[in-house]
Amino acid sequence: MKILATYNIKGGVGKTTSAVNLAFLAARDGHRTLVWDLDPQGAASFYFRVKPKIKGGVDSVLKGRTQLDDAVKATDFDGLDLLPSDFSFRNLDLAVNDSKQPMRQLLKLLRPLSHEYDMLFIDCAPSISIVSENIFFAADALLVPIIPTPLSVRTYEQILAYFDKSASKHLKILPFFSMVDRSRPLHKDLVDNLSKQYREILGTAIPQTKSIEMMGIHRAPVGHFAPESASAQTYEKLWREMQAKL
Amino acid sequence: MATLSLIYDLPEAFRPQDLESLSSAGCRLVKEPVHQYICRYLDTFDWRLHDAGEVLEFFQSSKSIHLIWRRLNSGQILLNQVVHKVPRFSADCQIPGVRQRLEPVIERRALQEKLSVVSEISGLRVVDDNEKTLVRLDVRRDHINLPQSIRQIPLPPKLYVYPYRGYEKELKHILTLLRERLHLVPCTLDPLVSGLQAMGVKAGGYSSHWRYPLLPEQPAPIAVRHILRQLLGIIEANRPGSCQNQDSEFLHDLRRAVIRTRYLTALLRDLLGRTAVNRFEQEFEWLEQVTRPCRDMDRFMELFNSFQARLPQPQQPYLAPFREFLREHKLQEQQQLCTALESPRYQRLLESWEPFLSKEPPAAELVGMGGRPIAALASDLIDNTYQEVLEQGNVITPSTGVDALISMYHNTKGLYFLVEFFRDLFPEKQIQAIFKPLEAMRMNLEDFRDLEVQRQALVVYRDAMLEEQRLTHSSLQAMEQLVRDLALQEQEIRKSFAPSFKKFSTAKAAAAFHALRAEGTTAVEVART
Repeated sequence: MKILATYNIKGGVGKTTSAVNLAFLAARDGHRTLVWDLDPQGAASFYFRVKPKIKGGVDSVLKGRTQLDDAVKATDFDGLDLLPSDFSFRNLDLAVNDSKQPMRQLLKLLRPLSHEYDMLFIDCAPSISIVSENIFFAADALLVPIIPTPLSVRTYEQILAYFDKSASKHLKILPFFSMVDRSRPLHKDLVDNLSKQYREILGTAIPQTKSIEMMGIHRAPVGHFAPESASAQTYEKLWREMQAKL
Repeated sequence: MATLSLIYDLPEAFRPQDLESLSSAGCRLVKEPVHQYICRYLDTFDWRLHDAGEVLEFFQSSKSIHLIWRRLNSGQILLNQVVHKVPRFSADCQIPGVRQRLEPVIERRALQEKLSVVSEISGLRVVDDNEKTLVRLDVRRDHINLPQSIRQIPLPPKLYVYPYRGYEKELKHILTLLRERLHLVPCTLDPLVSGLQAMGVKAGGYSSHWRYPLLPEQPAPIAVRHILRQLLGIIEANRPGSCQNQDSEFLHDLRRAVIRTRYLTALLRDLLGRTAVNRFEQEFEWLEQVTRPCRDMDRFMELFNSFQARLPQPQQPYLAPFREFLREHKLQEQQQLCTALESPRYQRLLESWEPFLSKEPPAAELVGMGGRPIAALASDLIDNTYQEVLEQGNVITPSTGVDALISMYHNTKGLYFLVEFFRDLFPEKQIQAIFKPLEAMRMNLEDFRDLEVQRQALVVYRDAMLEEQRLTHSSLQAMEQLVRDLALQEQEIRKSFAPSFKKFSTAKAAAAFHALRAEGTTAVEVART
């Protein structure tokens, strides 16, 4: 099972929309795919119309009273399942910290699922914490959406600085531009300049479009309700580019 | 947990709207547009999926192909997956999950279409207050399109229930409503089986473990013709698949039947009429010869990966030209095989052999020895061949030449055929008592013979590749290393002949063969009274 985490320290950069859309494409390609909504806000669960609730909450999962595979819910899309969020995930850091071998907790929980799925997308909460470090330890790649704004670029530089010193050398970091509005000179300039400065940034940039906003209305991936839209096509292109890197 | 039945028979008058009455039981329902698909049911030539209690359905529309792998009869879903194409072999499945599950069931066998239906699906989703699907209900009306005909065979309508993981409680509630409110009953016959029945096809109707139903008191000429007729049926059943190269097992089984036919006719020339049989013997020899090269190519292609694995890692890539050679020559041999199996000569053989076997044996053949019950003849043949194999084996020493071992292999195989032909005449316990030591020795000799044949064939192929300028120095070395490795293994196998023969020649095995002979004598007495 390949583990891909959509991650950024900063919130509102398009982590959840990317996780949902990319996971949809992975499943459509025939990979048995699972999305784990680790954000207590439960936006990925919302997009898939699944109630953000896990029986017993985070304590029950970490103490083994609720097996992770018992919490899995099928989405309405073939080959695509969801581990829903739970409001108690806001305490996940504390709970993980209190457990034995805190750095390996997530990987341990995921082990029973590893034969059931080919791909796991983790939609991370915006932070840098012990849970993030667990994800860095377990994941094969971090998919990092960056909005072309100075603040977002600054957080990307913080991530790079962190990984410079981190032990998670196995981790592939796949940054890409998200919520890009090319009609805005700032976005345009930053995309052009940063692409030259950071060669690792993927060539496909996700635009800020109405159809992506409409995901909240349709509560479905854009590839499902607007497969011919430019946004759906761009996600498709991004997915192909990511696959090539993986 | 009891198996839930997820396919229901529907009354002919049932309309998809009838399901909408579930809303009065508090179910939120969302109606889906009606879709039409081509649904293709795939299985191997010998029904491995069916025999494992599974069904593989591919739903094809202009936009996508969807695989549903489910349990036979219950409809429980094992896998529900979008795929890029309908696979022929498990190795064709690009999706690892599908390949991993398919491989152990079908091994290297090809998937072929067993049934194709046009399926009209009216779907209904049971949803929660977020409009999340909890269960899907599909009313399916299937029609079989007959090839080259405008006629369609309608199949009885069915309701398929598709559960969603994590919503088991909701599924149980819906199943209760289907039973108690709509009075639906789980289907008694899987839709695949009823579709096949409508086509006059019996699922699971082929097995490579052939049995020959005979009666002990049957006159021998009649019983032997019965066996030969059955073998002819197998040859004919496997002929189209061999010509179309659907799966190498077709040709394999065709040849197994030809070889058994040759063995039995040669052994029982006098019983069947020497003059008539001479003519057929020549023709079956021809058939065996024309089918051999293609089978050899199939076998080598099947063995290629294991051949490659015999070589040290750095040498393995250099065997690739051999695979190419096999692929190309297989195509040529396949064409020649087709030509032979569709030739007037084959037709003539078929047209004369079948009537020869079907007509009543002349009265003269049924008197004297020919009038013996088949059980008596069978026990004589088995016992005599057993004695021959025993004598032959007793004089084999570590220095005996290869030819003597190959001859021993042929006699052992003959004995094996006889036990296989006549096993239904004797109690299963007696058959098992002789099969066990016989099978162990036969397999040892077969492994030895196979290695000898493969080694010799590799030398021939190597020379042909040299002539065709396909071999680099490294590839030539890889081929030669392979030949040496096979020779070494041949020596190892040979060392284990003595222990396997020892088991075959024990007093216990002799007693088992003796008991079989006694059984044959009893059959004679029964026939006389």
